[in-house]
Parts: sequence; C-alpha cells; structure tokens
Amino acid sequence: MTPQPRKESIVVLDNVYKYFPAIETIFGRSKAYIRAVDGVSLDIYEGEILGLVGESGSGKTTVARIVAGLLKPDSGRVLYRGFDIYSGKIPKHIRRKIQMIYQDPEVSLDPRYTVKQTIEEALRAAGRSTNETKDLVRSLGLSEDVLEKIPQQLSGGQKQRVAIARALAMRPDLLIADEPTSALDVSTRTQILNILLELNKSFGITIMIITHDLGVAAYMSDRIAVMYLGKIVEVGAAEEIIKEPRHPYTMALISSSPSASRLSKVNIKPIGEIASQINIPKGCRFHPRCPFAMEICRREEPPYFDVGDGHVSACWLHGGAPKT
Amino acid sequence: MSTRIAYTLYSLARMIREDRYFAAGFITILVVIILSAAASIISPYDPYKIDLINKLRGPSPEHPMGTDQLGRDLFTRILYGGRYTLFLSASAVLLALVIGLLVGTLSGYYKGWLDLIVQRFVDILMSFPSIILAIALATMLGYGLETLVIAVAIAESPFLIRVVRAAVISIRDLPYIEAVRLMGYGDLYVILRHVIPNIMYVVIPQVTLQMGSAILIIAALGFLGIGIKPPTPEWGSMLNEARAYLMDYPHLLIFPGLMIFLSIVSFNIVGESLKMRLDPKARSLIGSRSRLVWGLYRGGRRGLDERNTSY
Repeated sequence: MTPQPRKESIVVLDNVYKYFPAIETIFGRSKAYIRAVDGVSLDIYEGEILGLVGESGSGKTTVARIVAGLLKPDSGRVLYRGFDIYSGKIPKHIRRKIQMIYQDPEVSLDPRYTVKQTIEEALRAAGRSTNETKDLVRSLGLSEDVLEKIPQQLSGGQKQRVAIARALAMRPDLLIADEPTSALDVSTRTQILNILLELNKSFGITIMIITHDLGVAAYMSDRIAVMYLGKIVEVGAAEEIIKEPRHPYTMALISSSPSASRLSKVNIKPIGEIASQINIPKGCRFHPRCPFAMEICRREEPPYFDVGDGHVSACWLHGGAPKT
Repeated sequence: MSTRIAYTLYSLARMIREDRYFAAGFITILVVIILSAAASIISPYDPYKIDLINKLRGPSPEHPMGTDQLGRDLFTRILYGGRYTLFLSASAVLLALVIGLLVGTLSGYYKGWLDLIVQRFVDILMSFPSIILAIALATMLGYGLETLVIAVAIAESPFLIRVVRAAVISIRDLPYIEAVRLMGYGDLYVILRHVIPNIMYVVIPQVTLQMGSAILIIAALGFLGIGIKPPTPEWGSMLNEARAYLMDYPHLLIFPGLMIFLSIVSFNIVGESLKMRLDPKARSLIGSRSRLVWGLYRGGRRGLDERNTSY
C-alpha cells in the first residue's frame, strides 16, 4: 500500500505473519498451524481512526495484539514511529504511548484494585502525579464516588470508562480498541464510541478500532481495513468501503450487517461459513464462498489492485494491472 | 490495609454463622491450637516427669485421660504433643507454600522449557504417594526437626505447585494483567502485585487441605519412628509407644488417635468450605450436608474440581 501524500504513518506493518501451532505436543513441534495472520501489510496514519473489520477467526485480534507489542510475529516487521517494536531497541517511554482497550470490561480491571488504585498505578507508570486521578475520572463522565469502588461494584459501561481512563493516564498516542463495545449494553455502546471519537478529535490520539460490526466501523473510522482469514482483502476510506465496496467479501459483510446495509446498495450472500484457519483455501482464500468465483481464483492468490485514491482491493475481478 | 483485615474478619464471622460445618472445623482447630499453646498454663504436670507408681491408670479426675506406661499424664502429653504435631505441620505447609508459589508462579508465568522441565519433575514427585516420599526424604536427610519439616514440605509441594501454576496460567494473559505490562511495569511487579494476590482464592483452600495431609504424614513418621522420637510427646510417636498396650490399655491409643483424627478432619472441612466460598466455580450440586462426608472421604487430597466444573 502506498502511503498517501501528506499523511505520516504512526504504525507500519510490513508483511507480518503469525502462526499458532494447532496441536501442542510434548516436544513443541506441530505439523498443523493456525494461520492467524498470514502476510499483513498495513499503515496506520497519524491522527486517524482506522477500523479493522472481519468475522471471528479472521485474525483481527491477533493483529491488534501484534501492534500493541504483546505478541511477537513470526516474521515481518512492526514499526512504531520508525522503531521496530520487537527489536528491544524501542525506548520504553515511546512504547508506553501504545495503549489498549479491551473487549470484556469484566476482566480488564484487576478485581482487587479500587478504581483509584488502578488509575494511580497508571499515572505512576507515566511519571505523572497521582493528584490527577480525580480529574481523569471526571473527564470521562464518571462521578468521584467510583474512586473507592472495586470493579465488581461498577456497571459494564463504568468499567469500560475506567479502562479508558487508565489508558489515558499514559498519555497515549495510539489507542488500540479491541471490540470495545461488543460486551456492553446497547445503551452504553454509543457513549463509549463517542468518548473515543472525542479523544481522537480533541487530543489527536490515533485509534485503531477492531470490530466485527461494520456499522460501528462506519460510525467511527476514517479508513476501514477488511480482514479475511489472516489477510487484509480491502482497505480504503470508510465512506467508500461502505458505499462502494470492491471486494466481494466486503460486500457480503455489508449485506449481512443490518446497520451498514442501510448505507449501501450492495447485497450479496456469501456461501457457507468461514473456512478453517488451518486449511486455508488455495488461490484466493475467499473463492469457495464467493458468488463471483472464476477459474483464476482457484489457482492464484490475487494481488492488491489499486482501485483509486488509496483504495486497495485484493480481487481478480478488478483485472487490469496489479498494484504491487 | 486495615480495611482489608477488617473485611477478612467480617467474612470469617459470616462464614462461621452461615456454614455450620466450617464453624465446627474452624472452632475445633482454634481450640486445639489454643490448648496446645497454653499447655503449661492448663496442665500442672510435666510431660516428661516419670511416675512409675501411677503408671497405666485409666481416666480419673486428677488425670483426665489417664497415665501412660511410665506414669506420665496423658492429657498433658497430648497438649504438648499438639505443639509438635501442629507446629511442625504448619511449618512444613508454609515451606511448601513458599516452594509452591515460587516454582508454580515461575512455571506458569514463563511457560516454555522451564515449565516443561518443572512439570515433568512434579510428575515424578506426584507419582509417589506423599507419605512414601516423605519417609524416603526423612531417612535420606537424617534425623532432626528441620529435616523433618523439609521432607514433609517437599512431599506436599507438588500439589501446591500444580494448583498455583494452573491458577497463574488461567490469569496471566487476562487483559488486566496485560494492561499493567503495557504500562511498562516489570515482571516482578506484575507477579507480586497482580498475579499472586489474584490466585490466593485457590491457594488458601489448598493450603488448608494440605495441612490435613501434613498432619497425617508427621504423625505417621512419628509412629514409624522416623520423625519425632519418644519420649518427645508427638501424637504419632505417642501412638508408637502405646502400641504394646493396645489390648489392655486402649486409652493410650484412643486419645492421641482421636486428636490426629479431629485435626485432620477439621482442616479438611475448613479447606472444603473455603474452596466453596472463595471459588464461585467450585460451588456444586453437592449440598453442604454431604460435604462433611466428602471431607472425610477425600483424606486431604486434591479438590472436587472434576466433580464440580462441568454441569
């Protein structure tokens, strides 16, 4: 993917692979691998909100963990502001600027820590004064009496706010939100999403939001990347992806999302279920489910075609000259 | 900190009120410990003082449990014996806990080859009944209070290592632990401040159950003459001394035996109750009534995990 002019990449994923052994044997050798991330290249631009979309099993959470520096990829490079995250040479104070918000608020806070302790711990790590705890909590719309409470006494939405406050205490430049709303009540989802939008707007925090819900991605993102079976199949401006998807998988995803399908005219049905991550189909990995599958799709993996203005799609339907 | 202690005491009081099996076990343990600790205040006799004129007497007002073959007051010896049996067991279990936390945490937290080696070693230790292991170790290390404690601790430690490791593995990758790592805190901080405090709910019941098992081993070693030796009043070695009088003076065996029995059962009941209370997943179809039966049946080994986790 060519980086667009004027936009600076904060994160560069360069041909990243991560396989997990499917069967753990005593001697640690496995013949079958789950190909969770199977050659992903992606740029995240400074100040944007990037939505990473895909079904469960598409490897999007693995990508999130790799970007966060929590999971070393088998091969490929992950650069954050030019530093290789996994080289050990990235200064600690820079690495700390990547923070994460998790899916399940039930397990994202230490059950034995009060809200105050949780946030003070983060403030201390960032070298900030613990006097800021109150302001931080208040800035997220929580009242001060949550400070002495433990997670068990908070609602899901409150917990997620505390988790965001904890991440903010580190003054992050990049927030990775892994399905931040899928475990929440419908009524609190929008609030959490709006908090994230607000953080992006007022502090310029770059956000990568992982979601299976194209509606959420459409609401949040500047750009959307669609992932299928460990590979990114389409990337582009959010509006374009929703209104004029070019990859059949994206079309299928949009058709199956009640909120996103209203924004788009596309309507196709994929055939069957997501294939196993162990036996990824030859050729285009989507071809067994694709209603437009051609002969070449069975044989050869499609390269990325540039379909205009940084919008890239990996599908033989585009014909023409491949981008890479 | 003080609020935490207050909360612990409050929970304890609530458990005693709500769970009568726990109450029975807990109070029995408490009474035995207090009596042993206050032995010199409660009893006017010297546990070693030989009085051959009054030997082998049955229970009487002056000697509530009678006297033994050398005329020593049995009640006094039982009180002093509690000091040995309980103190040694507690020391052994504490040492086993230290080993268990250290090895189990490292093994579970770092996984990899270290875990592999440690777990195979634990497999080997577990393939022997802990009492056999303790006998072998005690014989190998030679006689002495410290070596006895070490032998029993090693024999007990595999169970704690397993429990700690499993608990550590279950939480090491949880978001709240990961988030602390993302802040840039080191492994030691993460382990001490977040991992260990959050696994104590499985460790505490296991430690209590291990106490029952340790008492049994200490007493057995005493009985076999490998552990505490006569004339030291340890419950197991008292049984050993009394063996010859089984037919004619059964009280010499009944009272120390009863103490061993009561202590082990109490620790097991308390351990089981704690497990039910602290681990929400362990709450079972088995009602509180049959827990007593289970506590007796299990003899201080492992949990009811297999029975409880499904459904």
